[in-house]
Amino acid sequence: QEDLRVDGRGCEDYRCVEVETDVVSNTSGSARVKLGHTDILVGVKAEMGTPKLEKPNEGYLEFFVDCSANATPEFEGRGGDDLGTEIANTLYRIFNNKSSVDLKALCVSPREHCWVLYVDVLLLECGGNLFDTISIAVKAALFNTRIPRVRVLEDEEGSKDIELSDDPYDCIRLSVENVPCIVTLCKIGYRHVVDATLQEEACSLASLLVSVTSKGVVTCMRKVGKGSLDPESIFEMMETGKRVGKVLHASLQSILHKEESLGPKRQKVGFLG
Amino acid sequence: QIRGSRARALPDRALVNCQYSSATFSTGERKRRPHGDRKSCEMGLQLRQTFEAAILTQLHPRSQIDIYVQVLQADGGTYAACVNAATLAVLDAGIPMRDFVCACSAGFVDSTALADLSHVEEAAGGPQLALALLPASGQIALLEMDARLHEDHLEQVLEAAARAARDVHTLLDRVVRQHVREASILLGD
Repeated sequence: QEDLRVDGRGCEDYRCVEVETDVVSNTSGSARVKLGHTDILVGVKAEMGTPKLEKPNEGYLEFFVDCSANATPEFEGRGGDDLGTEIANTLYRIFNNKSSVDLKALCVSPREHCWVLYVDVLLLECGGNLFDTISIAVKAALFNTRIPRVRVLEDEEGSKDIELSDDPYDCIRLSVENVPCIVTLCKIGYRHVVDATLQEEACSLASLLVSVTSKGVVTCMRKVGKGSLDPESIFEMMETGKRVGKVLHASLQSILHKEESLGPKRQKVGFLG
Repeated sequence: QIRGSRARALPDRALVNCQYSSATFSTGERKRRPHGDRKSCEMGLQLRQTFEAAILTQLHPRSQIDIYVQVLQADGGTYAACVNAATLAVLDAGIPMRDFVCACSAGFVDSTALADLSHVEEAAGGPQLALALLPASGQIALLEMDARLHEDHLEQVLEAAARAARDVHTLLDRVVRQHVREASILLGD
């Protein structure tokens, strides 16, 4: 009630976030995010494919979420599939609008070839607030993705040949300006909190997932949980979500740019730090 | 404490359960299924065989020890890396083991034995040997070989793998001792 939580944070404070990109070398882009005890690794692989029939001029993104058995023993075998599909479906929905990622840049030749970005999320440890961490990691991984430049050569019969550029540094980068991040607001008692730990999530009856872009535009909203929320609190939570989301985006952008500016000589902590 | 089928509880020993899972972005080509496919099941069984030989299961009857291995990036020698990592994890958990289990892969190309093959070398198609060793006694926990290898060369390849596994053992030993020393300093021993 007094804006004070068990670990001393305010209702709108996030735990300490560690973001590191380019951790897995045989992917086109990768990122690892640690938020408290939650640990997520995202790898992006770019492959050639054919565009979907209804959108012949665009590439597309495919999401896959794998819950590692290291996170909780219940995820062994098929146990983590339900949670994985739920998270993957949420990610599809938040990216399902025209402005999040520039899909036309992924098109190589209309109706025939395009880049397909396979975004694979790996849950290494669950410590509360999965959706936020996953969206931060996806954004960081997309920022880090380097897609090689291709040229389409056409010979006399009209058959096209794709030529990959020889220079490994000649690549296109995606603009992640409009990639949304999810902010989860959990309702506990009369107040709502951002970035709940496992204990706080256990106490909360319902939460609202708001996916916000850096400009404050809401792309998707979803209510989860067994309890019910009344309409005024939904509006209040949405406003808080937008506010917190903008701050989150700003700090994430600054961290990513700072990391990039350190260049190829930066010390990579990776998994051994 | 056992989850799943209680009928599998062994009355005098602990049950060792291993799962091998590799991330979809771990290899050069994207994998579709992280676990549940044949290779992962087979690796799980091999790891289980290796660790049943090394862990003192008689000390924990009617219980289950789960070892979950997650491969983040694969460039050859995955079995060896899994065994080495799992050894450290089991030690970190405080489960008593007979000895460290150190593993290494080896191959044979152009009449030279090579230790620790990378993905490119494995894909080249020559004979490959995977060896898991308990260094102190020199006993072999698991030995597996693919492709054809002349009997005369077996000795040489086995020796190369064993030597590499012993080097890994020295490294693991040093790391564990250093960690224990740091931990005991922190506890104010």
